[in-house]
Amino acid sequence: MRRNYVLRRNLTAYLFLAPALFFFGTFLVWPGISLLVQTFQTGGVMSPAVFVGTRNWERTFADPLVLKTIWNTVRYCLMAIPAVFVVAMLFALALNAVSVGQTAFKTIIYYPTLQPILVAALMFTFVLHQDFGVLNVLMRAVIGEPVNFLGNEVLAMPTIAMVEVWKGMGFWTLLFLAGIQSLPRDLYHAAELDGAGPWQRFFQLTLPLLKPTFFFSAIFATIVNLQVFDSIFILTDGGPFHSTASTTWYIYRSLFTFNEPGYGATLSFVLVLVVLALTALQSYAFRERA
Amino acid sequence: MNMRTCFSSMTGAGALAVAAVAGFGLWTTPVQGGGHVSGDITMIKGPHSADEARFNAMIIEDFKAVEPGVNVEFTTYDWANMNAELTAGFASGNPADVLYLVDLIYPNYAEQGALQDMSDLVSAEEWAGERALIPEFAWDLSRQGGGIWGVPVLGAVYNIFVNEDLLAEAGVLDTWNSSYADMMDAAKKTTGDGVYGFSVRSRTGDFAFWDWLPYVHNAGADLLNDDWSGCGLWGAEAATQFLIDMHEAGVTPPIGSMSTQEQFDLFKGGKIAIYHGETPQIGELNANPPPFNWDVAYAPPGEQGQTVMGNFGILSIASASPNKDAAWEYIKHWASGPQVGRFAEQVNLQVVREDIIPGMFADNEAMRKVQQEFVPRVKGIQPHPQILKILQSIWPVAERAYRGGMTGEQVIQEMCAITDEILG
Repeated sequence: MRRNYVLRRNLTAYLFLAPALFFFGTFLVWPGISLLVQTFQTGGVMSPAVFVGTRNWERTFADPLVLKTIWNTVRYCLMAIPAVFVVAMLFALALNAVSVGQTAFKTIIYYPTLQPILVAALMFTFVLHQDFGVLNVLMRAVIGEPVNFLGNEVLAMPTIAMVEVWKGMGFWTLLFLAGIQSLPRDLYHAAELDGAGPWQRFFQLTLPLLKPTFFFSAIFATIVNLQVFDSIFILTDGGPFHSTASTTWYIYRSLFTFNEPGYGATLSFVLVLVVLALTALQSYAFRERA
Repeated sequence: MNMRTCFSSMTGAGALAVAAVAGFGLWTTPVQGGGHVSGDITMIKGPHSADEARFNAMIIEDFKAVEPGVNVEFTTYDWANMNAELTAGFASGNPADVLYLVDLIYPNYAEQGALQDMSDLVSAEEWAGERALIPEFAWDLSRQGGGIWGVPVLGAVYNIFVNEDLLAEAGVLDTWNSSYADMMDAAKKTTGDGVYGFSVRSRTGDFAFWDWLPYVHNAGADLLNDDWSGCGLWGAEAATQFLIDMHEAGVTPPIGSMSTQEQFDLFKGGKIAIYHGETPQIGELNANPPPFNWDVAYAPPGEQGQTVMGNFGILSIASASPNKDAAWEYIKHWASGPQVGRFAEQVNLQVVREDIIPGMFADNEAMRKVQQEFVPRVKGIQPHPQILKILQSIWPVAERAYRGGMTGEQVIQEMCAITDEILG
């Protein structure tokens, strides 16, 4: 009797889980396994797949561009994520203080996030262009000469990060604003009564209380930004001389430009491993601090 | 297979003889299918004009008159993403039946079995007359691994545009392309007051290697050696050094600061004296004449010759096409004199058929010059399956070198190491 009850209960649970498991298996587990299998093959897209053993992996470890693209991607994340968080936090704090027309400001700040990257890239052409870019008009006035933002191997990646910060700040601003507005008001009242000023309230209350939001944001932003592709593809196509080549850009190039699906799959798997490693690291840090 | 074939057989006596007999306006009658095939086919092609669809609609309309049972749907791919779009099409199992492919990419598709070997089709007795009008060098460009993968139809020449007023003001109009030293001198003399004396493409995404290759070819070098087993760039050190020197001399727009289109815009604005471009831009200059005299030209002679870079396009059939007969009929129609001739004139490209050359571009002096004077000097790329990968992999080395700190010798050394590694 008892055994039947447990069985029925388990069966019911599995039935409820089935739709989610189906999608999880179909769109995550199965592609993951296929990807892993492909790393040991060549061809498979236009021509039949051929087993090549560990050749793709050996090539990956020997290819200096792989290391360069991973480093470029990490470098990009280190620039873009802290920058967008700081900018978004400032906007969120400012918006939180606004009592009239907050919705209108939110809409304006969110607007760049809605822009397709093509539009953003075109817009930034008019900002960054060597001859007529708005920023270079300013540069001429300040330092006397224009700056070759996208053609300079040192400045190209920060410039792309700047474009992504502009595009992403709307999303993060609203996320941080939601976090700030969900904080318990009574703590702030108590702090005010105790004589805490705005800076103290921010550093002693807001930031510590927003830790869970920050950690979620850090993990989410890392996963998203490690896959940076479209802005790089449009603005620099990985140049100048691979200084902005990201891992995803290299995967795309291997898969679609060079028709090397096995190698592209291996690079994709490497990216998955990098994402997992960084996410695990952040989760560990979160657990330690929580 | 040695693809170091020049375009020289294209014109000259052969073409003139054909022209004398045929004369302009008496192009070969299109090969007509006679309405014996039917079905729906799709053609895909990269656009050579904003009016690409309209120009192809004209070809389709004429085709309908001879093959009413065949419906042709025309679509385009984006040049910058052609491989991604074409690969997706092939991978879907339902690619376009007829594909316009350039020599840079078709060998890889042929090697992977995505294209139909057209050896039997183009060798058929009924088409022998048409086949003979296309010079052998063009057929060589469509041969790969023992098969013929398409019918050569168009060529695209990469030429130099010069602002004659700027050159004349500097007193170098007649001498600027006598030698590399003269070219450097002209670039220096025309630079100043917001004017750049010289410009070449530098970005990989802009296919900058097209502007570099004539200098390589003029030095007697090529991307691959004679049997395509290794790097063939040895000998191009001085030519590459010349282009590095040009950039270091401060006569070019800041390296990497402008796309090829932006450089062309500067040329149109009278701000570049010697600009490396391509022939479809002639149409733009004719349509909106700039306020100065301009001309088309090619690079000065090198140690081993004076060549012009060109790409060629072939019409192929996808091996997965369910309607290869209709596809072949359409290719024959597209490649026929009246059709390809009209299209080439509409988009300012060059043709490979010898019979129609003399009558082409009657009202377009620059294009006539390109077709009749430049095309015989064209030296194309070696259509190796890995050629695109080689070009895109080696180019960042030149991109770095143009910024200084590397010699031509170091560039070629590094490029050859990359090439040899790719070739295994």
